[in-house]
Amino acid sequence: MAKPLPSFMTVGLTALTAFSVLFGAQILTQPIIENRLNQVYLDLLDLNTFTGYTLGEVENTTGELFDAGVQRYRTFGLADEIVAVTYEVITNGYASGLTYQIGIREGIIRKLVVVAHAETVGFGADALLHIPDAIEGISLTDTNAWTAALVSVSTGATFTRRGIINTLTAIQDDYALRIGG
Amino acid sequence: MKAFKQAFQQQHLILSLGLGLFILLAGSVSFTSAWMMTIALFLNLFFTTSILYFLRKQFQQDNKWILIMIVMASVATLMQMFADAYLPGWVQGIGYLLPFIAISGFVLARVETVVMTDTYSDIVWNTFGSVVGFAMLVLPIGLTADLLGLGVIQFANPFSTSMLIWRVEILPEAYRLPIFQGSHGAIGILLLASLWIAFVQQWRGSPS
Repeated sequence: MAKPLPSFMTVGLTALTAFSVLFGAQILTQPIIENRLNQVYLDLLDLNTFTGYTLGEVENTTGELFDAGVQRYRTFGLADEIVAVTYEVITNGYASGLTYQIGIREGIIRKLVVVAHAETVGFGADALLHIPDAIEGISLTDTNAWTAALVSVSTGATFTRRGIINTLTAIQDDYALRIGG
Repeated sequence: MKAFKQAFQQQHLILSLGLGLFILLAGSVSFTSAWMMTIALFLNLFFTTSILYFLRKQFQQDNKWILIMIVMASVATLMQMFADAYLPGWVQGIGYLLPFIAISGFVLARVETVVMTDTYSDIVWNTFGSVVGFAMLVLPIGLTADLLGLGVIQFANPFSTSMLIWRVEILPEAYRLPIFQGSHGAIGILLLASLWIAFVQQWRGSPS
């Protein structure tokens, strides 16, 4: 049986090999992960590509926006002007933990995606199946329109609807400030 | 086959970790996540034990555990990286259970034992046995939780975070039992685990 290498050399070579393999794997996988991450934002903003757009970083919220349940936002600019913003929200419906993402571009609600919730089946959970379709395409500034759209699909789910309306109101103010409206 | 039988009956993750893992599983397991945990466990055990088997000639008293931990952590990280890139649905299905499975103390100790004592074919059989034993407990748990809690049998697409491969509705809403979902589901898990342990004891003719 061959004599083993000195202990420090075995550990060093193993660690170097592991580091090299992981480094190579990261180079290979990181662009795929980033592309997929951007795909989430493309979907939220109903866009095919970000060509020409300036992508902001994902930022944590503070102040009133944070108090309303909006956790993070990301801005998207064209020719040095912000034209779109996505928001990640965790609010309370009938239960806590109602989590959704929303994309607003050129003042229009492009998409709302419910990520997680613990709402009651038959009430809030059912309403959440219809809410995304109901408010897509509505102007964010048209409070009456999106409120009416939410009411129309959330019978018996007042708390769920209220959680979304509260956060949308905060998002409405924030979006107006960001695009200078 | 002896290695398979032994691992299948008693050397798998759940039976060895005991009640602590049942509670963890109760809050999170579904049929999909049970399958995905099984695959994660298999890949982790297979790659880790294979690499360490061929490295074991270099084991010395002062470097053995460092080498085992480097290999295990690297395999787990590598799996996580490729899964994040190519199998996002799989990562989502497992959630926080992936690192738990990959680096649990039980896996660490078990890997050391089989690598030091078994032949390579026994190591492979041992891995199969351990994974099959694990699957035979978590799959019924996941199926029961989905069936009685959600009223459906469904399977998520490992390549996507938002698609189901199939979904069959079994129970109408009125007959679903929320107690089999979330933390309340722990009692169901305990019952199933008890039945499994009793079955193994009967099979072996001695306490497990």
